Amino acid sequence: MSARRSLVRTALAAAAAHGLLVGGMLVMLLPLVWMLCVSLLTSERAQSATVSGDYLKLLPTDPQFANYREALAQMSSVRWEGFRNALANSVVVTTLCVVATSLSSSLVGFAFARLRFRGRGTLFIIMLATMMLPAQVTLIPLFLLFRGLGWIDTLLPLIVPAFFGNAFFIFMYRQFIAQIPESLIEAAAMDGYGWLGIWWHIALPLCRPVTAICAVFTFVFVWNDFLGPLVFLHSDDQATLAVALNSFRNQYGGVNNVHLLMAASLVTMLPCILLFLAAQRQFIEGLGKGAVKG
Amino acid sequence: MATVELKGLGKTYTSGGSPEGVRAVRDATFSIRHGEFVVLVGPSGCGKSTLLRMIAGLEPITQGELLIDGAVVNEMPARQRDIAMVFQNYALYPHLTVRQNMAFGLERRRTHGSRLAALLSGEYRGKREDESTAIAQRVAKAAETLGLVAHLDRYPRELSGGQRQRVAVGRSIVRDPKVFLFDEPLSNLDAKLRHEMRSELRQLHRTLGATMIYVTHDQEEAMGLGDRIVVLRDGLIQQIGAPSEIYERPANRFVAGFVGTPSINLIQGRLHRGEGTAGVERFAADPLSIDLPKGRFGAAQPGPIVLGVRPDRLRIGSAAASSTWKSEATVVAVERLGDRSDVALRVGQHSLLARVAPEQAPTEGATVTVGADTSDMLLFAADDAGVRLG
Repeated sequence: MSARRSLVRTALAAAAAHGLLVGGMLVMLLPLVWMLCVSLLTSERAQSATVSGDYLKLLPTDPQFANYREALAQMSSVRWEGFRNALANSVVVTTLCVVATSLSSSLVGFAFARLRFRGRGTLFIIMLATMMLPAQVTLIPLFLLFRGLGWIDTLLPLIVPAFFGNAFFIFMYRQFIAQIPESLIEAAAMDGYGWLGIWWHIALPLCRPVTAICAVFTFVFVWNDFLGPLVFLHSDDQATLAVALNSFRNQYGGVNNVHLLMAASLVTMLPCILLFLAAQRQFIEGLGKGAVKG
Repeated sequence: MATVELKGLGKTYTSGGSPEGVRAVRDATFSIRHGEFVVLVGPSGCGKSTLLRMIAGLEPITQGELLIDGAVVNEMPARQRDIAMVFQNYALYPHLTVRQNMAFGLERRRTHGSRLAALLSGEYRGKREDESTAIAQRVAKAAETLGLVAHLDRYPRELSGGQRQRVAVGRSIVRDPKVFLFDEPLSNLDAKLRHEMRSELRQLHRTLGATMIYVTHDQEEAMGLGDRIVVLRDGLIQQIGAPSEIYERPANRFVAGFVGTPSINLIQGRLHRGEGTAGVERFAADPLSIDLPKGRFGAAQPGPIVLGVRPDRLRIGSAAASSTWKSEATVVAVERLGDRSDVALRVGQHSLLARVAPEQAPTEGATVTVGADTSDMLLFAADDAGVRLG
């Protein structure tokens, strides 16, 4: 009898947990579904669905896939050129930032975890303290610095800082690398490897979960970054997707173009969603490891 | 193959709390010949692992000199010493297969390492491929020696403890280093496997003829493996010698007690000179009284002294009839171990342990004659150092 009761209780608890999760998921998904629906409507239906609140018209009975082509083509005065440039810029900046951040952060994290040098503790605290600085605070000094270097209106201000690591990821790598058994490091040293070799051949491959997190976070952050490109880039042909989307909104932001705006926004978001789906497992593993070992 | 020489080698940890630091190893001086198998043995905390790690280059040397093949290597980093080490926890790279684990050290030693250069130049590619073939051959040969051929493409996590141990050994032998170091490599294995691996290591040493230094806290392992044994205690070398020498002629009470299973019988007593029959000295520890031939214990002075006799040299019952010393004893307990029996005896307040053949084992509670030859007895000073006097 009591076994049956506990079974019922377990089932109820599971149902409640699932209900909560499904509810949360719906709340999260709703804006995305709304975007997707609106992006497939005709201009008139989109207007009545969004402006007059006629939600019944939200479902695209006759999906307008051409909206996507239209939206991307219209991103700049010359058809397609704006989108092509922005996509290329975003891909270059994001790829380089992901690779550079992972490499530099793991290298610095490795050094903090394994190398014994004078002032290591102090340096680590200073490094951590930089996490407390909001990006906006350093924006003007950075702008002046990059202007002095003649880098304004080039992609360099967006890429080069990534080669100097990111405090949060350095911290994560350090914690993770500190858990690697000392004997593995020593074995590699006996096998003839120096610090760089040990980092590259031992620490980095073992840090895969952290690297997955670092890569996904950096990708999403850099891909969606708006403030940086807006401040450091001026010309249209240097714009990244986020900035291009913003100028698109300025240009076509009216109610009669809302379906195009949603289409362009969705395309911009797509890589992040795909990456998240692809790296999901690594990602969760990494977060879990960070939680337990960190 | 190489010689290793330690000259007054020492290690002081400065962060030990006390101002002068903690001295983990003091004044270690000995040399190891080409192809010799030397075992460092001692209880935990005696500094044997520290000593090994100093030889490996993993621990900075604070006093003395370390020479490999006649050259001082104190300041040389581990990666340049051309020494291989097998770690207690195996230290296999978890992200590499057995094959890659074994080839790892060789990959580092490639003279044609660059893949990029191989792409660009045909000649370079050829040389690189030759090297790859050589590495593959050496790995294959080591794998064959160690019975790992079937496991070459597995990851360490898919192997049993014994197999991992073999991979760790394989990783060392493919490199053909000057010196092999082993840091308690068998302590994570079960007793049966440990025994098997021990004889395999012994065989490996014979095949390779390489210089090997082995650390263990297990004296039985040390006796079974070493050409020579270095016994350490509290960072100081107690004795260096062949296993039989260490067993038969221990330098002091500590070595005598540490080496040999079961442990040596030690009896506190007094030495009296000139009181016994002509030509003897008498060891007395009430109710025991043992006449010792004069001269054999020349260094011993009358006064407090400790007498030692190994359990396997004690005889009981009829076997004791011919012994030069005999006494009556009560059998306290008998432990039957199959091929032998350990008999716990009591003579007055003294406890003795005798190891005898199973058919000689008496019944518990019985009174038996226990005996031993005085030539099998050892005398030690009664002070803390407990030096052997003869």
